[in-house]
Amino acid sequence: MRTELKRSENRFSICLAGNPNVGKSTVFNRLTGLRQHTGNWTGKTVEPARGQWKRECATYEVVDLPGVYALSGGTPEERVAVDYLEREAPDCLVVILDATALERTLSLALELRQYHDNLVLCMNLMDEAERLGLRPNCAALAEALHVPVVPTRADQPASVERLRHVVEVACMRRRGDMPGANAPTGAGARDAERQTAEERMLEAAELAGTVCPAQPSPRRNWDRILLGKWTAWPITLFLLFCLFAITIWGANLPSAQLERLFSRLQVWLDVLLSGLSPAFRSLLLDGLYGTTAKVVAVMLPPMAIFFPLFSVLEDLGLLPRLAFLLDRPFAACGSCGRQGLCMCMGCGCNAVGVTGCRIIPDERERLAAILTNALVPCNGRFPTLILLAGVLLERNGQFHPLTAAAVLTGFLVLSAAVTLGSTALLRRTILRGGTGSFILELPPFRRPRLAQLLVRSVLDRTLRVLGRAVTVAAPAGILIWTLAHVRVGSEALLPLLARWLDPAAVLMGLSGVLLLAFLLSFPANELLLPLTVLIGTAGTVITDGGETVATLRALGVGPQMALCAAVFTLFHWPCSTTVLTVWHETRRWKWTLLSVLYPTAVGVLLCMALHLGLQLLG
Amino acid sequence: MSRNMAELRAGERGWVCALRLSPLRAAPLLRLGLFPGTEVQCLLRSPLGDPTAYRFRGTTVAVRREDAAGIDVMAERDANPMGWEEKQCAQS
Repeated sequence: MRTELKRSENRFSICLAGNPNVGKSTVFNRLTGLRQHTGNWTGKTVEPARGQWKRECATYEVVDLPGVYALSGGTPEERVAVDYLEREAPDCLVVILDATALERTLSLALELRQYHDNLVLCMNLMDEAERLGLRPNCAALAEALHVPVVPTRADQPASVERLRHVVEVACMRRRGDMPGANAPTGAGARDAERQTAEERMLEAAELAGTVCPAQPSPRRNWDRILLGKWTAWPITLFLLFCLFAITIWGANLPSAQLERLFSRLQVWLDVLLSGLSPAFRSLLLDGLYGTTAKVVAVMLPPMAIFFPLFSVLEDLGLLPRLAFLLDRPFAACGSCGRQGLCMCMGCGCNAVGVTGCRIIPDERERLAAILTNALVPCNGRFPTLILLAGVLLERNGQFHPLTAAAVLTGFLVLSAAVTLGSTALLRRTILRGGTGSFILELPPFRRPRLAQLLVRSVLDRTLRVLGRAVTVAAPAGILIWTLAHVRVGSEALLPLLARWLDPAAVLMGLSGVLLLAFLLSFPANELLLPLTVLIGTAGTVITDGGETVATLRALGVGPQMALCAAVFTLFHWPCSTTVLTVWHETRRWKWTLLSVLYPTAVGVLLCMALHLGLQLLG
Repeated sequence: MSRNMAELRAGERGWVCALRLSPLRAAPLLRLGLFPGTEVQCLLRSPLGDPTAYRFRGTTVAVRREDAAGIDVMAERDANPMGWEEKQCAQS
């Protein structure tokens, strides 16, 4: 005790614990000012997040433990939580309670009393409880458990300030800086040790009954409509369709504007750099700048629209409901509805989706979900799919955004079907084994907090993904420019490579140019379109970006080839970041390799079959 | 008379009598507070028939049929047949 005091005299460690879906991450964010990604589903936080706040030369370090229901169950989250509590022995343990479901959340608090003697309870979601007609009595709870209880509300960020203050006092008191130092805070702790889980739950129920005797008034039951027998599927498809329609329709104009802006910038840069040698200038402008600008212009607008919309669905609590809807087909394929959630995350970014597979408890099911995640098109592949849909549908140079959204939804349904089939195949061959169970909490609907949501999705996700794409695009641009300008004999290297790939590509209904572009866009799927144009035109970047459908046409991409290319866009090797993530998640070269080979095999076979079919039909 | 949880109809309540599941399968349910004695309400079935959403201890939880079938309950209609019929009439 003495040494610890010396070592970190004004550093205090605080730990946040609580059930999933009690607004723990929100409290953490308000305490520390960090923007941790919150999501309304179980198993969001798997690794503990860290943050801190300072007051008067004292630093309070906060660790947000993963949400758990109990500590003895042995799930990965529970092991992380117990490990942390035993190893690091925080100064203060804050347990977040849900005022609308006291009984269940209290039982965790009772269990945590055995692990720690300096508890602070935070009664979160008080505003939601009041809407349901509940009035939990914090004072009564504090008296019964001999611990401080602080009510917090989602609609009043300032209420967390009180929590912060109480936690500071609790920390100081434990270190003996304040009077009443060795007060027996955990008087009941020793009794609690002998409690079984069942007894704890009964005690929690009794306690909840005295603290909050009122029954919640019935909520409006949206589930009856959202999950209803006849309404569920149309609503789901409609929401998906809306998501894409808004993204595509909203992204069109800013994309064109950005391209125009970038090409104007390029003219200025050209003037600015006129002192350099022509070859070097071309490398910088056409290679580095051109590719990067293209990637930004194509990617930024759809991402800036897609991610916030996706976050709204997340905040509302619709994603666990999607898992609930999808569980039956997934169960038939030897997986569970949680895989549906991972696929949704994969729509944003496959690397995120692969990480998200941690929410699947069964080892084999989780592996199957990881290996098939790249079969869902990520956000970076959407622009390509939309453009190919344009080539497919275009009449007289125009196509309606709604049609594109419908086609994209169709592509997504296809990819979901292939994912399901692949999961079934994997689960019946190399990943054979008993089925895990599917027990998932369906959280209550929560109103999304728009301001927080915008900041989070724009700053955290959009800029991070964009930053990654740019860091990859810039060197790739230089590499490709070099490939385009290095000459072998009388011909540049790129067209040569493209021609060399042509026979294989033709078998799959593609062209050598497209296949080479697919290969070279391994660092980031977003590069595919700019690359195709770059290779096809042998290194001269086309600056008037508005006519890319026409450009593709000019490169000989007809409707049939567009269809094959779209299928190959859906199913091919995952991008480098995703492959790296798979390795991190599985730690096995075998699975990493398979995660590359399997989607590729699917794509190649499907494309060849499709090409053959189209040939036979004429 | 004992029924299993999967036999509860949408909207019906029941009281858990026993869990006849392997420890591995029972653990997540116990963790959520589904013990003998707990009151459970069957909320609704997934449009494809499985899983089903149950409400207990203030939370809504989706449980598959195979798990629910291993949980014995005392159903509302058996515990209070008169009241159950009245409820049915009032609903229809």
